[in-house]
Amino acid sequence: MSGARIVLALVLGSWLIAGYTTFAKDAEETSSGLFHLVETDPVPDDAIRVCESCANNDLQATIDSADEGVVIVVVGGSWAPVSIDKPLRLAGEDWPVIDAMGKGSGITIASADVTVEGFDIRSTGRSFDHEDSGIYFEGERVRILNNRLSEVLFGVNGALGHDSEIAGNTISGQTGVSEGLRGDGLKIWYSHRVQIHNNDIRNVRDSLVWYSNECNVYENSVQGSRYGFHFMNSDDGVARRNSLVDNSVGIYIMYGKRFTVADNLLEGSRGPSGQGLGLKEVDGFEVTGNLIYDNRVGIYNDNSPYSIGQIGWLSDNVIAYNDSGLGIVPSARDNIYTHNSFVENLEQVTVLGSGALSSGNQWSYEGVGNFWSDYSGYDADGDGVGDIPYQNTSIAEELRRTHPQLQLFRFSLAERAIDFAAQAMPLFEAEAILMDDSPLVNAPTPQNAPEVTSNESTLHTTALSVSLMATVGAGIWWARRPGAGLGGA
Amino acid sequence: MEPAIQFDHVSKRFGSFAALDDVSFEVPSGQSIALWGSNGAGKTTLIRCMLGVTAFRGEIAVEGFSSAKHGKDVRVRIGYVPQVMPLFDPPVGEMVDLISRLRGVDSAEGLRLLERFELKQTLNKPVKSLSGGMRQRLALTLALLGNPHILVLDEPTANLDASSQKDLLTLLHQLKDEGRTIVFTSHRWSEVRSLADTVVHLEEGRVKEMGAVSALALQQDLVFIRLVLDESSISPASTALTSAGFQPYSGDGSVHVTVADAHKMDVFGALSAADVRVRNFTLEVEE
Amino acid sequence: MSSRSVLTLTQRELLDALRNRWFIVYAAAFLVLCISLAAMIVNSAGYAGISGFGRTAAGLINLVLFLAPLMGLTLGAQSLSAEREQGTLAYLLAQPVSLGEIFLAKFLGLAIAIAGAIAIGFSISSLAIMYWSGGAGVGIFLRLLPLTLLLGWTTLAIGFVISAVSDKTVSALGIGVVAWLLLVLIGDLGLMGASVAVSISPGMLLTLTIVNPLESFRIASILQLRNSIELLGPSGLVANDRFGDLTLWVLVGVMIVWLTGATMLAYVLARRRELQ
Repeated sequence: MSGARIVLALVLGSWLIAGYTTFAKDAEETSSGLFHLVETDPVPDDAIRVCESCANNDLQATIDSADEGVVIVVVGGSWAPVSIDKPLRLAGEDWPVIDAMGKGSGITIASADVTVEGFDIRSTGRSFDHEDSGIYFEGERVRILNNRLSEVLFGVNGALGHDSEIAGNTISGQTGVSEGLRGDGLKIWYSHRVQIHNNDIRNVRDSLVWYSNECNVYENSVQGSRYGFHFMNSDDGVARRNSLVDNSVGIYIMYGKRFTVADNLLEGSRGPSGQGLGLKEVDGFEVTGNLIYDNRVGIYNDNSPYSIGQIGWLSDNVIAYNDSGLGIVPSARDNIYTHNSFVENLEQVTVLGSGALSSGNQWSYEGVGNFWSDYSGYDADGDGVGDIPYQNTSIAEELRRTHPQLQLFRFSLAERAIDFAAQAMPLFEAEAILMDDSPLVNAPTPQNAPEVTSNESTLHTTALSVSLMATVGAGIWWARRPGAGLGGA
Repeated sequence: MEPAIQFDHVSKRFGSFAALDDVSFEVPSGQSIALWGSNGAGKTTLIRCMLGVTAFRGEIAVEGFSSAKHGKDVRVRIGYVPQVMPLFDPPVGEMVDLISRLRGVDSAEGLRLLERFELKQTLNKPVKSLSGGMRQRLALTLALLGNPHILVLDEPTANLDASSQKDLLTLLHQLKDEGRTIVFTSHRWSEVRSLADTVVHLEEGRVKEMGAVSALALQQDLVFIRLVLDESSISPASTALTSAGFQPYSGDGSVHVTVADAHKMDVFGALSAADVRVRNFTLEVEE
Repeated sequence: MSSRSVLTLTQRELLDALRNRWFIVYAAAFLVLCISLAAMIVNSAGYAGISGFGRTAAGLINLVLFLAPLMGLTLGAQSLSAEREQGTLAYLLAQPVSLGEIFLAKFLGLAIAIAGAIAIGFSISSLAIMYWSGGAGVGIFLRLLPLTLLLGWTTLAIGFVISAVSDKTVSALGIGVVAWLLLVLIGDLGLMGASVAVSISPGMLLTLTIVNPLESFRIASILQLRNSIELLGPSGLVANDRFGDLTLWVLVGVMIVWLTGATMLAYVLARRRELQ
């Protein structure tokens, strides 16, 4: 009997450990590591101090009576929403709270040259008409730094604010509300040369940069939203080293010219129109060094570049484990793909719509093609370039394109059998979607992009595996165990 | 004294075919009863009804338990020996262990029985590897687990050679002397005469005759013929013999028939008339 | 029903499975194929130094679709017919146990044996990935474990139905293999052909497809591993409209209906046959 108890104890123990590792895994917070508070100017000695127990305990009155250009330090406490209509600097110490109690905006700025930093702003109203925002500003050179915004409809909402800076803020929308009913985390409107960096934005609708040229968006992290960043009619923008994870669309660029998208992590863009990077009729762009991982469509190209004579340059991107690596409308042309890695996408390149892909795209540049994980050629001369071209052919993919209903049979053995038969009998050979005549045999790896957020716990899997094996072992032990001493011997 | 087994208007139909038709008789405790009859007379069906593993009309009571309603209670009271011990994969020890546990007895008892039937050395041998005689002794061992008062044996010697048959018969006599109630079927008259107190002669599902062996009209000079045939000839041979009025019994590659000594040549006549080639035969005079 | 008898017979069934050549071959094949796939997954993750669910890992769905039903159907098909053929079933029935107990124990024993083979294949493969790659892509196998078990058990139940109506093990095996081909390949090819030749609405196509428990498994696996029903085109969107977040459960439900339905049918048929 004691043998049975020991075995039982071992098996139960292993499962307890496995169960514990589940909780340990759940407790981990995912963080891109990009968010951090930014350096702010030192607070001068003559700053006005406001706190609940100070002589100055009315924040709005203090602002109203202050001279232009002063620094007001707010120490802790909880405050009603405020409006600022003159240039000044409002600096929070010990996270003063501004709670809008579900009505209107938190801080409203109607002046240029205002800085707001270090506030904890909560619970704006829910009016889309008034665009209730954590911080609303209209004015140039406004700096919104190191604030915490939570349960807000819109987060930081600015218009006509050229040369402003929005950095080091955490912005989270209302939880438990569907994406479409949330407001925008960021909304930048007719504001050129805005610097947006090191913010952490979660659970909002979109973050918009519209009609705003030369904006520089870098090292931000956006999660759980609809459009991570949505640029519209904004020329000469740069999006660099942002982490866009688990949104419907990572970065979407509509219209505009000369856009740079570099070194971003675009991961987990899901849903029917999930896209890591969407390019709609963008004139001239460089997409380089991005890590595009686990999206519905990695890069979606709808007629970009739009005008004749413009070029789309896509190089050094790692496009891996997406349902479609690239989703391209047939008419898109003048794109150059070189030195990218196409790794293990379920479909490396998908043509969206009927007809063949335009031949006006280049799949290699000056003898340098791309790495394709499904390339079956060889490199006899060892120059790093495959000796036969890469061709993307699959009768099953072809069938799925011409008969979309057949997508239901993805991963079925029937589908594999069809592909196998097609390979055995070239009679049915599908037409190649594209041809890369200088395919790389070694994959370019991600260089500067943030690392993918791994949600796999190796500890958990190990513990589970060991528990399973222990259980099977105990089962075998039990099966071989004679009932009452006969049998074996 | 209450009878060990009571058959009360037992009927069993397979579609339109009446396998048993209003069978009633009693088996007194401690008695040995032989079920006698040709193939298809209903002997095996009657045993299955008694074990409660098939549905039937009427009532069978085994030591007071209804076979139809309390099959498990009945089966725990009956030690059953099939015609051939099936070829189980596990070794003998494991089989003894398994059946002991199913019958709710200590398998140490199994060890004693194995010893008694000289099977102890086979403990770790697969059932498959045993000789016919050993397998039937194993079947007997398993049947006696839990020390049931009633033993039911369905053609226990049919597939045994003469010496194994004799050995088994000796064992059965011992068991009978221990006071057990025995119900068995056999197509060897000598066996019936030696072991049975009473014979129930079944034909076409009915009790044709029943009584002490000595009082039976069947009682005459009988010979037992074992015909060795090609596998494909077995069923035509059985048909031919049945239509000629004999009661053939078909076993592995052979057909057995027990006939009055005076009519033994008629068997061969019937077979040659039906174009059945007999490869060999043995003849035993029943004593 | 006596739980002690069921337990005793289940133990015997398990022990028989460990002695069964077929079972050992299946378990070994499953293990070897899983480890090979693990090696391929690790290899493909090495291209750019990141791992995930891609073309190679999708092969796991094919592997499971190929082997688990084959294992379930043929082991199930052999189960009762072999015992009947050898006379062991009749012998056991003459013991103080019921057909229900024997049936349940046979099913439980084989279900445990299949689960063991799958669990060993998956857990060793997970550890192999861990050993080779240090953890990248390690979760793929175990995430598919519950569905794979369900598939093995469902096809085992269908195998039992075949077994309940077959006299000979050989013919039961033959029917089992035909059923396997039908469920795994021919049914799909037929539906694919039909949907191209005549117009079947995406909803109808979805219904016709998921009626097949193997297809329910496949689609549920895609949801489980990939969580994107859009991969399945128009019919996938219909599924999303019809069932929304419950899609996975609907598919699991189809398999459970097959599992319980086939088990009960097999029992009724076996009972009719054995106890008539």
